[in-house]
Amino acid sequence: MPQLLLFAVLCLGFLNVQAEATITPSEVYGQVLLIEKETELVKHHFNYAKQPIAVAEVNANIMPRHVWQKCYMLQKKLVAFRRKHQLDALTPVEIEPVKDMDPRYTWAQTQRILVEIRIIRMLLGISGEAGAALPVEGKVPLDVFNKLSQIEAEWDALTGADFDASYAFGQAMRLNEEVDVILRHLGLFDDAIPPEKNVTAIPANSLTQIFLVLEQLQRLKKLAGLDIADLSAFRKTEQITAYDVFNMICLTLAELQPLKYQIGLRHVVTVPANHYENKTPADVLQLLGYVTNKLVLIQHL
Amino acid sequence: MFKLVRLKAKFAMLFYAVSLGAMLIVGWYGYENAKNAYMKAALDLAKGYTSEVSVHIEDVLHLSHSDLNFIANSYAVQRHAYWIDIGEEDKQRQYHQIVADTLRGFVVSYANDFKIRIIDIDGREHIKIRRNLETNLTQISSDNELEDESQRDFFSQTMLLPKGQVFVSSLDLNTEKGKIETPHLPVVRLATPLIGDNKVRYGVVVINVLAESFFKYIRDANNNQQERVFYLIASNGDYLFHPDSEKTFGSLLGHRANFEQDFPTLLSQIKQNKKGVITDANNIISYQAIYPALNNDENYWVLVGVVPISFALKDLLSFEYAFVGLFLFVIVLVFFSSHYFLGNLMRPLEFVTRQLQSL
Repeated sequence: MPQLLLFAVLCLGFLNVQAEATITPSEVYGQVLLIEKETELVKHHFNYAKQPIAVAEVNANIMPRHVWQKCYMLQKKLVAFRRKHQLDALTPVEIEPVKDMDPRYTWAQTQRILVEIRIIRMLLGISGEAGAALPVEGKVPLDVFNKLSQIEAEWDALTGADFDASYAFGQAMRLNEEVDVILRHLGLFDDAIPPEKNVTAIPANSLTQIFLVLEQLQRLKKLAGLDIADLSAFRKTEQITAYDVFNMICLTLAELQPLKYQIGLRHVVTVPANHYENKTPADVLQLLGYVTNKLVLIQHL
Repeated sequence: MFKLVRLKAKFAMLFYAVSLGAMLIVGWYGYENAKNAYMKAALDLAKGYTSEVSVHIEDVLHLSHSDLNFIANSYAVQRHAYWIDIGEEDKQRQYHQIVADTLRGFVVSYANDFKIRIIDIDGREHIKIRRNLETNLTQISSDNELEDESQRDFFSQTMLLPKGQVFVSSLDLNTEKGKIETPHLPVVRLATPLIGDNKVRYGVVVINVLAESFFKYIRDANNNQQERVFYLIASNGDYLFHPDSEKTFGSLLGHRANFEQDFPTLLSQIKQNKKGVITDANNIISYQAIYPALNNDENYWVLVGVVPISFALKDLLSFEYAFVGLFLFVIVLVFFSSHYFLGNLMRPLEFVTRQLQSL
C-alpha cells in the first residue's frame, strides 16, 4: 500500500511538471510593439505628431544584456516624463549580475515598461486601448534594441526637455560605484586620481572617454576569460549628443555585469542612479576619466 | 738719628711696597679673572637658555609643518577635493564628514592646534574645526560660521606656493568675523596649498597654532632666580611675548610698547646677525632669530634673553669683600711684622751708631 501511494504521488508530480517557458526575441519584439502602441496613446493625448521619430538604426553585436539595459534606459525616460508632469520619480528595477542574460529577463523588462506606461496613463487620465501583442517572427535582439531606441526617442520628444549631461553623469556615477565595488572586492587600494577638469569639453570628448573605459573593461573581461561584445557601431563621429554618451555608459554598465558575475559579485546589484542637475560634459568627462584610472589599477583578477 | 730713621722708613716703605704691591697685582689679576669668568658663565647661561627655548619653539612649529603636510596629503582630504571638483554632492558629503572627523581628532589629540581649516579655491572656508579653550572641546563649525578668507595673506600667499611648502603668517591675535577676538589669543597660522596628485590646486589647508604652546617654554625660562628675562619680538620690535602681556602686539593694538623703546639702539644690532650676545652698560643680551617658515628668511621672530650685569656679577662682590678684608689683614700683618723685624734689624745699628758718635 505505501508503495502504491508513493507511485501515485510520483505520477502526480510528473504530471505537474511543465517545460520552462522560453521567450524568443520575436516575442520580446511583440511586447515592444505593444509599448509603441501605448506610447502612441500618450502622444495622441498630448497632440504630438503621429509620425514616428526617425532614429538611425545601429548594426552592432547586440546581446540580450544590451536589450535589458536599453529597457532600463527607456524606464529612465519614463522617469523624466514623470518628473515633467510632477509625478514622483521611481527607480527603475535592477538585476543581479548574470554571465549570460536570459532573454526572458528582457521580456520581463518590457512588462515593467508596459505597466509603468499604463500607470502614467491612469494618473494623467489618458484613455485608449493598445490591444494585445501581435505575433511576430524572425526578430533578433538587434531588432528589439533598435525598436526600443526609437520608442526612447518618442519619449524624449514627449518629455520635451533635452536629455542633458546630467543623465549621463548619473549613469557615470553608477559606473563609478560598480568599479569601486570591484576594487574593494579585489582588495585593491583605490589611489586613482581624477584628471583635471576640461571646462571646454563637449559630448564628443565624453564619448571618446567612455570608449576608453570600455577598452579597460574589455581588457579585464579578457583576463576573466569572457566574451567581448563589439560596440564600435556606437562610436559616432558627428552630431554627438549627451544622449549618445548616456547610451554608451548604459551599454558599458551592461558589459560590466558578466565581469562582476565572474569575479564572484553575484549578488551585488548596480545602485540606482541619483538625480543630478546642471551637469556639464566637462563633469562627465572628468568622472569618466576617474573611472578609467580606477580600472587601470586592476592588473590581475 | 734722622738718617737712621729715614733708613728704617725706607726699609719699611720697600717692605710695604713689595708685599702690598704683590698682593694688589695678584688681587687685581684674580678680580679680573673672576669677573670674566662670572660674565662668561652668565653669557653661556643666557645663550644656552636662548638656544634651548628657540629649539622648543622651532620644534612646535616643525611639528605643525609636518601635521599640515600630512593633512593636505591625506587620502580623505584629497578625495574630498576631487569630489568637490567633480561636483558629486553625496560623495562630497561623505568625505566631508570623514575629513571633519579626522581633523577634529587631530585638534583633540594635539593641544597646540587651535583651529584647522580647509579653504576652497575661492577663499571660502569649507571645513573649520575649532577648539573651545574654556571647555577644551572641539567642534565643527556650521555653515553660517564659515567665513570668506580670500583677502587674508595666509590664503593669497599660500595659493602661490608649490605643493609641500608652508606659509607662516605673522604671529598675531586670533580673529573671528574679521575682528580681533577677546580675550586676546595669540596664534600663528601655518598654511599649505591643497594640491591633488593630479596637480590641480583645490585650495588651502590652514592650522592656527596656539602661540601659548611655545610661550610656555619662554615662561618656564623666565621662572628663575637670576633675574633673567626672555622676550619674543617681531622684526619690527613689537613684543610677541613679554612677561607683562599688556606690552605685547603694540602695532596691532595701537600702543607704543616695544623692544626698541625699552632697549634703545639694540634692535638694529640684533637684526644684523642670526644669533649672538651683546653687552651694554647694564645688561647682557643674548638673542637668536627663529624662522617659523623654513623657506622664508624674511619672516622671523627674535628670542631675546636679558640678564642684568649687576646680577651676573653679583658673586663678584663677595670676592671683593674677601679681598678687601684680606688686604686689610695683610696691611696690619705687614705693619706689625715690619715694625718688629725692622726694629730688630735697626737696634744693633743704632747701638753701633751711638758708640761711634760718642767716640
